[in-house]
Amino acid sequence: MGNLTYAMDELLPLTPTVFHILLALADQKRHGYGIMQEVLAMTQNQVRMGPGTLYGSIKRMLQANLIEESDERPDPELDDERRRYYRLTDLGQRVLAAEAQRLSTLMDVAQAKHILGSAEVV
Amino acid sequence: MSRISSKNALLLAEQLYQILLFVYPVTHRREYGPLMVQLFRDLCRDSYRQKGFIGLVQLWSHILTDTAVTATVEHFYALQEGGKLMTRTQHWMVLSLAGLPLELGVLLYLINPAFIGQMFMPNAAQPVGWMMVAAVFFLVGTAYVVQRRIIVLSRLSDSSSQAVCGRGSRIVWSILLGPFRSIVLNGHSGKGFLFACSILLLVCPATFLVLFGPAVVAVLRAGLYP
Repeated sequence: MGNLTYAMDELLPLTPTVFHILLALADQKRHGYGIMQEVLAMTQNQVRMGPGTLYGSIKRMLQANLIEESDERPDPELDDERRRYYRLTDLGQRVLAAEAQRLSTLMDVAQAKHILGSAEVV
Repeated sequence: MSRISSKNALLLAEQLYQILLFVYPVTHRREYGPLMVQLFRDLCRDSYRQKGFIGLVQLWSHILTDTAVTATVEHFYALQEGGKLMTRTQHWMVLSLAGLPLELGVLLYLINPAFIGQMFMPNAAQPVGWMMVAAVFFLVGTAYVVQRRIIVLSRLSDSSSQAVCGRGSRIVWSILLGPFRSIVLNGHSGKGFLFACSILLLVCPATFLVLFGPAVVAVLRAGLYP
């Protein structure tokens, strides 16, 4: 199962799951459970990924070279050695930044159209 | 006492999840199965700690949905990879098995059209309909499992089993055009002919059902059929 080479344009826009995983890995490497916990925290418990969703996405993100496995462990003595840690690649960081920029532009449009305040009314 | 029972409940949940993982393709299960079980164990522990047995029930409802969706997706990806690895004979076997439900459907259609109506619109008052649906799913599932075994075997065998279809082809392309292309390129071999026939057995009933099924049902319901 070799890696696939994608251009940035082919990867954007990202699916919500991929975006959440990339965002969870933006500041540090994490294992599967750590990614899930971080996504829960980021989304105020709204996005809860199951093991199938998480590892299916991780598999395809590894193939697309958005993330890679990390051999380094934060604290090997405290950690379960069977866990695999993942971190962003250079491509992953660039794709994450591009997607964040895309969403930010959309937010500007939403703000200009006075959409944001109306969510509380509904 | 309650600590022992909670430990047993978590252990049982983990064992059930390990069994559930068999719905995923073999290659995916081998690569990510242990990690998924470990993650499930963590989730179970958290859910139980927060809400007790209710939490476990809620987790299972989430896990079942997640598994149903993602296993289907993984099988689709595996099919795309596996389509390139099967030989012509293996393709023939797979397609023949996959065609069985359709062929059975046409046979039943001819014998008793009401069966087909029940099959597509089952309800609790029509147990035969549910049985037919179950039978069809069983046959499709069997074809699927056999196909997965063939793909795994072909990966272990030599490189001569490489590919009816060319690089970059997807599974639909290989299923529909692979055998005809092989006949054109390699002559009218027996295997190629059988393979082409199996395609026809698969495609023709499906086409018939899609194009003429509703019309035939309408005519039959109008009373032209005793």
